[in-house]
Amino acid sequence: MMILLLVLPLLSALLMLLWPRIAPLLALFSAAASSLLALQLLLQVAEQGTRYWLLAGWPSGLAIAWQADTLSCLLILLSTVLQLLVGLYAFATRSRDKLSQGFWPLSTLLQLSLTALWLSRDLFNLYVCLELLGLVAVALVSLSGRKAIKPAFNYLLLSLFGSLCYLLGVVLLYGAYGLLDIAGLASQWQAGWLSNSALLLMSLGLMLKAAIWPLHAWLPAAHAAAPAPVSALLSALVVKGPLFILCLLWLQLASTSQAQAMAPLFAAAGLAALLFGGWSALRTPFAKNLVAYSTVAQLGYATLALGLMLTFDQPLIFAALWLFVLAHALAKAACFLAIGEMSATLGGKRLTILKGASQTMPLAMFAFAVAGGSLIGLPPSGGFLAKWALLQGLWLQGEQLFWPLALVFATLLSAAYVFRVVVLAFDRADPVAPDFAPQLVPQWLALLPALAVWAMALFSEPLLLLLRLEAL
Amino acid sequence: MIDLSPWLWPGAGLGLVTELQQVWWYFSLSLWLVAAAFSLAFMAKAAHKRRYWLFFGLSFAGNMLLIGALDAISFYLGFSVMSLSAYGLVVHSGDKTARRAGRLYLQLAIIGELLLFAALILRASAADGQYDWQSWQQVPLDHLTILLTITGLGLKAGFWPLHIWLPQAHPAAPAPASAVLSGAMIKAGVLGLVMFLPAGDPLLQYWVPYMVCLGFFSAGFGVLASLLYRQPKVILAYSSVSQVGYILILVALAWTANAAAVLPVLIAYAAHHAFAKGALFLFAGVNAKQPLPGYWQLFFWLPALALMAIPLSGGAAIKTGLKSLLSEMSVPGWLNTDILTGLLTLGALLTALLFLHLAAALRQQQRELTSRYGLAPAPGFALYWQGACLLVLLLVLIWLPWQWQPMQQLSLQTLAWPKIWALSFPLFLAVLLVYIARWRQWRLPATYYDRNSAVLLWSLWLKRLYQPQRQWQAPRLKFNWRAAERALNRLAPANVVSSSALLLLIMLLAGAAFL
Amino acid sequence: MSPFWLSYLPLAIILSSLLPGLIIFTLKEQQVKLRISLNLLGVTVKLILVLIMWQAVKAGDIFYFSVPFLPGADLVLQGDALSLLFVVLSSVLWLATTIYAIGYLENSPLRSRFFGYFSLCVSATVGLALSGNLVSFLLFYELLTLATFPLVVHRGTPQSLAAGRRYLAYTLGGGLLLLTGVALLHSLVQSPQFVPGGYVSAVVSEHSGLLQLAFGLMIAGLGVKAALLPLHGWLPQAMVAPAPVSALLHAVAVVKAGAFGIIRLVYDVFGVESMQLLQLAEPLMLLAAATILYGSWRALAQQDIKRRLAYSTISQVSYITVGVAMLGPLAAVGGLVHLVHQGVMKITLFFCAGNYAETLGVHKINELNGAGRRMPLTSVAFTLGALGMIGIPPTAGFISKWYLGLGAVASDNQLMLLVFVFSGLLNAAYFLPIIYRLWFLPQRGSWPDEQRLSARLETHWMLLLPMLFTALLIILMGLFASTGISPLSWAELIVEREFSYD
Repeated sequence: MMILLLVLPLLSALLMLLWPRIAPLLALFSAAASSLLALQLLLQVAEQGTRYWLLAGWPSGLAIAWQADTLSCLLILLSTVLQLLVGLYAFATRSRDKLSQGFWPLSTLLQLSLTALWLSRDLFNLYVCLELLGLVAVALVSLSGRKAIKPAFNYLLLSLFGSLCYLLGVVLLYGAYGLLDIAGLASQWQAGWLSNSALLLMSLGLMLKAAIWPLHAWLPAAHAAAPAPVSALLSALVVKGPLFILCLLWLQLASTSQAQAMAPLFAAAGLAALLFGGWSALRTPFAKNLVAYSTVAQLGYATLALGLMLTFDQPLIFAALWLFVLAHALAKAACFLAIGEMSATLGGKRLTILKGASQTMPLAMFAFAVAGGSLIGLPPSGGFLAKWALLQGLWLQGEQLFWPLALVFATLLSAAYVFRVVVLAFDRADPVAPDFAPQLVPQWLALLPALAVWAMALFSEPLLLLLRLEAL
Repeated sequence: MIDLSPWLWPGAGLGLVTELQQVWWYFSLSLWLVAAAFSLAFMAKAAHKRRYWLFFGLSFAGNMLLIGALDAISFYLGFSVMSLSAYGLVVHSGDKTARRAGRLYLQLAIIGELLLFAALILRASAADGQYDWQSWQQVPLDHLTILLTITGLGLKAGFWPLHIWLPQAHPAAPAPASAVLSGAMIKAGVLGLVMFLPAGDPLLQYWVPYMVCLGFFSAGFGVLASLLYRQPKVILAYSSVSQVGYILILVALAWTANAAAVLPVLIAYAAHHAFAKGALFLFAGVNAKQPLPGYWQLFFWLPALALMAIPLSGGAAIKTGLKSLLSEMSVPGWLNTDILTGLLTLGALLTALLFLHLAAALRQQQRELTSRYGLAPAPGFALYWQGACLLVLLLVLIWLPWQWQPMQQLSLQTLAWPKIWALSFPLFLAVLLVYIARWRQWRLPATYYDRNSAVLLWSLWLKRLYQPQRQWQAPRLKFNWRAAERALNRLAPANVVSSSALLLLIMLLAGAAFL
Repeated sequence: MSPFWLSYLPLAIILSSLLPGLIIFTLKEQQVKLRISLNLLGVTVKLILVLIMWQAVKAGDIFYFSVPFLPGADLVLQGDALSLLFVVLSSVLWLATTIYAIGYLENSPLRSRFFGYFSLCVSATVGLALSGNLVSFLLFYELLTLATFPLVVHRGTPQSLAAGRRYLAYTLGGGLLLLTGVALLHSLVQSPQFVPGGYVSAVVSEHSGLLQLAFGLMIAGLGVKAALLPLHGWLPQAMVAPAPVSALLHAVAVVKAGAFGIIRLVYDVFGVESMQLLQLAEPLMLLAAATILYGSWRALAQQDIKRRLAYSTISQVSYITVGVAMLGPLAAVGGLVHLVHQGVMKITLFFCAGNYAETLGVHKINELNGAGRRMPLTSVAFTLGALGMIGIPPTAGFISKWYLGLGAVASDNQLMLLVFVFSGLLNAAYFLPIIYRLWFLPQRGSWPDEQRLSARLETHWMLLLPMLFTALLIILMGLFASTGISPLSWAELIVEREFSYD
């Protein structure tokens, strides 16, 4: 089944190149089929435990090793489903947005690289996926045409630079241990300057690619320049890839002393991201930039959770980390689609075009608000679940006051930027008239992930249990 | 007796179970009815008649309810309805003095209301959630409750120093309203003082002598203050202050173990004062409106003389009763019963002075009216009607001391010559004094007369306090951070790639140092 | 009655307003009749369901409905005596406000949206009342914030947007503090159902500091909606909303949600004994007392009718808190009954203010001169409400003040009695001048913006009827306080159950 998940997008991408006219259908079909497969895999893994698979039957150590645990399966399911949704959106708006034909194969390749990334447990393998992911992402950004060239180029350069750093670290490790398999490496791990510098190099490279503060500078421009479906994918999924690897490195590879030493830095970076991203989102005059900065801020939660996880080693915090990722992916996709839809219909990229949007485009605005609710962490959304888990994890550590209060403050910031948009939308004094009649289907498609993130609350108990088990 | 406890609150009930309540109820009722009948003619041409009758009816109902109440909450209910709706009567004319007087009245009524509320709460707590008079009789008092009750009810009863609204409000209200204000409503406060504070309570005994002294002071103060005013209704209001002083003495005496002997006198005093003062206020109302035929003087002199306690009048009977009660009173060392009875005589002199002064003021008013309108026109139906109302009051006043059981005894006692002499010589003295004063032209400088009371200033100050035009506002920080933000934005590197790469290198070095 | 569907009763009560609300969102602006009938259908169904529940709870039943949510904290709906107090209040006043709003918003734009959010708001309030543990409470608390925000900014003017922003800043901040506190408490003792006597007593000795912290956080969170002293700033601003909204916001939904939460927290989470052990009641009481006086004091200087009423709300809601914080049964009765009484009185006052604004265009107090002649019924209702606020018998306000006073003396807090007296003075000082203007001063010129809304009545009958209904309630609840169906007897029932848990 795992192999099918990999082969299906690959094949369909190839077919699309051969037969571009049915590319949209193929992409949608592959996404839909993959979603079903991913769901089945998740159920299977949840029932029978982690599954391993060695490519082409080579022995462990030489072969490309794949591993499907519940977290990977969840992430696969998430990426395929989002892929499907975004694909549908792109399909629904194709006549209006004039999205280039290149979108379909590229997005399918994106799905492929992501799926591979979630399944890999081998440093080099991960590198390959990462590289592919970065290139595809850059290509997707550049679909916007001329105005996106500069951000895309910046993104490309930095992405390559990040990969290079990562590769350097991998090479160092390979030189020292002769191994690339993470489980294998972890068993022989010795703290020393070599492993230190390898870890550092890899982490920084990954942080650059994951746009973790302070290496986030490329993200707002790139995400804002991309077409709406692309930004949704980038923000929801692409930045999560490097983050996943980062977590693997620090949670499974690094020794306790290394982890303890780096933990405050991660936590501090996370908090800084929350504050900086939140503030920038609050101040930016452009709609998509707001959402992009919000991504920077929300990634801060993940980084913060990683830092706290390294400090406290509390399974709940780990669960919180991935809940953040899941909730943010769904919510951010909804946000970008909704904002994209509104700026397309109302004509303009400034935030002020959203004046009166609650009347003119109630559905899209509702989608944004609902997704925003999850970003803030209002119950009973996915974002709330994550925040609840994080708070629980923190309070269980005893007299912790700083971090909960910092969280409260950060949440307030996120509430501020979300409601900045919502309040504008309720401005009835001089609403912006739409350029043409708003389309309903894309608005509903934007609403779907937003509703999904609130529906996460229904499965909160199994989700928490699944993710908590993962850490142990 | 109507038991309302299943519907309203525990112990709620209405009924006239004690003699106190019965007599109180009947005399208040008759005064209210007469005043209502009087208003029919008196207010026939006034503006806002509906409003007048609404508030008249409401305060009437409140007054009757509080007398018939068998529990404290019903009393309080009636008391509030009466106090608040009387405001409508006070400000009825709507001119400046009425509005000022009304404001002061309402301010004090509300304060009194809330003080009484606090007293009630304390009392009800002490009585363990029982509200009826019966159960309260057994519950001991504490000083705070006594103080609150006396102040709360005293603000209605209007003895010194809680009288301040009285000389303002009574003149401002229309005559029938002042009649009930003075005759019935301030009695509500008196009734409350008797009902709320159980007789014979040990702590209360400490208060009795002080209250007696307060009563005397109030009686004297009322008269002396009245001499400085020339408006008949103001003088009458001060007369009420003075008379309430005597009533207060009786109330204080009724708090002692000797209550059974005191209560009849108290009741008699209250009823007598109600009718006499009611008649005087009604008369003053008519007197201020039109020139009157000469025989109308009768309507003034009869109640006035009754209040001056001329022999054969009800006033004489009551004063005698009061005197004998005072002389029997057990007093602390610093007080002497002889002095007290002596003070009573002085009080009679002063009362007589007040009414002579009033008579002069009324005459002056008539003179002015005549000079303006000419001689008295042929009396119309309205005047007859008003006269009839007055006559009813006067008949009651004459009838009261001789036919009514509690007063009969006292009246009979006054028939002895020494008593008659003791009663009349202050009156003669007063007449003499007035003549001497006229003859020698004893007068204070003109600025001392008819002064606006300082309480009006106080009331205005209070109003400014609770209707402030502006208040303290939290200071709003005006900090223009937009410029700072711009400067910060300019700091952001233009070249994302190189700056990010540089940052990464720096972090690499820093991280290496850290690990 | 089969027990099967009875367990769904709490859910059904919430759905009875939620579903019509959701359907109303989808309606077109012109479908007036359908919208009105949906609204009224929802109200009727809700009232019937509440009645059934009321009878059962009176007989001693407790309703319980739960869905799994968080580990250790299910989503619980629970119908007990206390929750029913609030449910009945919000349902009955929802009926009144719905009729009022239909009349008030006749021919104004965006009514579907308005009524949709209105129903959501009521659903959230009822859900909050019925929630059976802290986590469910938190959930509905936040939902209430979200549902009321569109109502606050309904007019869409810059002013109302600014008010909306402020409202959000306060309530979301409060919600977050509450969340933090709930999470802290959850980490200590999980979040079991509300139970009389509380459930923290097991860890009081061990974690007293953390418990105090949790209490402080939660009170700060609840205090925002209950408008406790430093957190009250949103309320006067939120006055720009249309009159039915401010009526609902101030009388029932939002401020009462905070007060209700405080009641739950004190009695059913911490419990009287733990509160005493942790010494939490005293500061809360003093804070609330300060709020009472501060709110009244600020109300004095307000020249706008609704703003004055808003500050009055700030003051009055804290009566509830004081009553609860005194920890005595009598004071608790006073606090609980004030929850209902204040709701009814304040909603009457807001209806009146809305009537003046809608019929005469009057917004300022000094424009009210002589309005008693032009709108006698409205002015009578206003007078009743105002007298009730001061606590003059025989209005409902007297009953609650009476019990609060008794409670203050019984729990040996004579200082609070002083506060009540003084606040009564201040109440009189800011309400009586209005009444004076209404009845005693002559009209000054023509009204700012007069409209003839009815041929015979002083204004539209839909604006009059709810107001008269609530005004009548003020008197009835004050007079017949001892009867079995009065709020007072219900409050006594609650207190009896809350204080006899041993």
